[in-house]
Amino acid sequence: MESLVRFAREELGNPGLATLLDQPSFAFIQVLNSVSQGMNLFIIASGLSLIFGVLRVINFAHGAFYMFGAYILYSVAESYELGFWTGVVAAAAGLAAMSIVIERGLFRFIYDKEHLMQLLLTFAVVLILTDLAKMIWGTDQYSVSYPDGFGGAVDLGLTRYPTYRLLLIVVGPVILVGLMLFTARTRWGRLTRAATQDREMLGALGVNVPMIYTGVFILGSALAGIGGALAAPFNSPTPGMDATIIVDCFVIVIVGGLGSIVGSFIGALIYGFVFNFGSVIVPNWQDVFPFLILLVVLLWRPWGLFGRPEGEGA
Amino acid sequence: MAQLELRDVHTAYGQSQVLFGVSFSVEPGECVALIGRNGVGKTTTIRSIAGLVAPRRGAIEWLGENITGRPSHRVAKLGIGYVPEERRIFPELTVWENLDIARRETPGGWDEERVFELFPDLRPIQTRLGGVLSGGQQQMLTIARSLMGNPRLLLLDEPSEGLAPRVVESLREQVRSLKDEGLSIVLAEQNLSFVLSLSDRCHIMEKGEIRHSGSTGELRDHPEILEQYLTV
Ligand SMILES: Nc1ncnc2c1ncn2[C@@H]1O[C@H](COP(=O)(O)OP(=O)(O)O)[C@@H](O)[C@H]1O
Ligand SMILES: [Mg+2]
Repeated sequence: MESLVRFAREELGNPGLATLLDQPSFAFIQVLNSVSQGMNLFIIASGLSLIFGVLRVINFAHGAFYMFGAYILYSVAESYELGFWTGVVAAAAGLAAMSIVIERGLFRFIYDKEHLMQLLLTFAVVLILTDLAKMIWGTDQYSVSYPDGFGGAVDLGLTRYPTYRLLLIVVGPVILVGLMLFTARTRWGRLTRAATQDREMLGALGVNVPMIYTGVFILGSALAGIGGALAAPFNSPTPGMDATIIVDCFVIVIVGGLGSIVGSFIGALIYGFVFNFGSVIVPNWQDVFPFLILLVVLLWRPWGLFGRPEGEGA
Repeated sequence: MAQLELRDVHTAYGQSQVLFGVSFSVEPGECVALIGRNGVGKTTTIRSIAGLVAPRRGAIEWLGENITGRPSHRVAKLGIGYVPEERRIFPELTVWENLDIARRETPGGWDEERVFELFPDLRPIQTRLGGVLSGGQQQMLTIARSLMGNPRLLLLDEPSEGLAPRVVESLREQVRSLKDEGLSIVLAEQNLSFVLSLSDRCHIMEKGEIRHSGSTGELRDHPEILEQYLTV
């Protein structure tokens, strides 16, 4: 091991890699950072994937929904001092309400249109929402404090680690299991899967498919809102935060396979690990990593890890 | 008053018109057959009734109410069950899930217990995925699925297509028992013995029009009529 550390430091000239190999606590922190960042991204990306899986629309405005979640949390928790968790609930509810208007008023009319039309319309929604956010919250960068009881750090033996980030590590799998139980075990979940497989037939059986679409859109958008709210303490709400997140989410969702929830989960973890370990080993290149992951996975499996080739169902 | 009535229905897909004024009616409990070669418009007639394609002209009335152009889920809720030609089982749902999604609870209505009494072959394969069923199992499931919505009229599109003779035989008995329970049926079918044994009236279609209408008894006695329209 020691020779490996020396090899990394002296032969490769890579102090980051040497520290990773040398200090288990440093490596452990990178693992935790990877997972907690991945889990935050998963919450947001799962909503994007869910919406695509059923509605077959790539919603570019998903990043803006995330930004609204963060802003709403700031307003409720900081400006009105109603508490952090109230803010999270408000972000989910706010996005649910917004998404009903957007789905019923706009998206509903583009499901049968070609992808370019869909892209243009969802992009128009991005422009409207980002301007709306500037009108409401201006261009300041707001800081949000951690919720009560989650501001400190926990001793994990090897190292101390921020409690709030550990919370995210728990919330991610909880949402994964919740979504999986929802699709597998509830009647709404069954209807949702049926709508993905044969929308017209489901309608002919007496099911109001547009209603299911609205429901799925609400659920997916609320997840973006929750993701934004939970990110607010370490990602200060500010204009432009939507643009970064939407790229990350696309990478995750495409890597995992469009429409697959488990795929988004694995995709988010891969993203977290590549980003965090990549930043240590090859500093200053982190902006390239998302695209590298995308490239590698798509060359290997063009339909993503858990996706299926077009025409074989969702 | 007829239960279902089509008056002068014209239906087109984009530029290509398929139905040129189809009119017929169905009385409660009656089985009305649409026969004719491939491509004459039987499926389009059924899809027009089910609300899956809107007629350009003409009217479809159900229990005296005009339902022309209503969305299919509304038509289904009014009591018209659609059983498509391609069966269209949800491949990644289990047999039971395929039934469950079509469920509309009504006192004395259909549930899985009653469905399995009519189609006992479905009971042991409840947890199997729709995508791996045999043709016969798929056909039973697609009828069973429509029954879960408690229809008063079934639109059966080529139910015997592609099935082994033995399976067609049991299907015939199952459809007959549905008819005996008072369910009305619109049956599009190419298998003449199947049609003649189940229907009360027949409409022979050609090029999007009904060319001959008559009782099934008449057709049984005059096979030359069938020959005139059905042989190539
Ligand atoms: N979705 C469609 N788009 C365009 N033409 C269609 C479509 N479906 C059926 N047709 C045409 O309509 C005609 C009647 O078809 P169909 O109603 O399926 O007849 P049948 O059920 O009697 O075989 C055929 O010429 C067929 O090619
Ligand atoms: Mg046909």
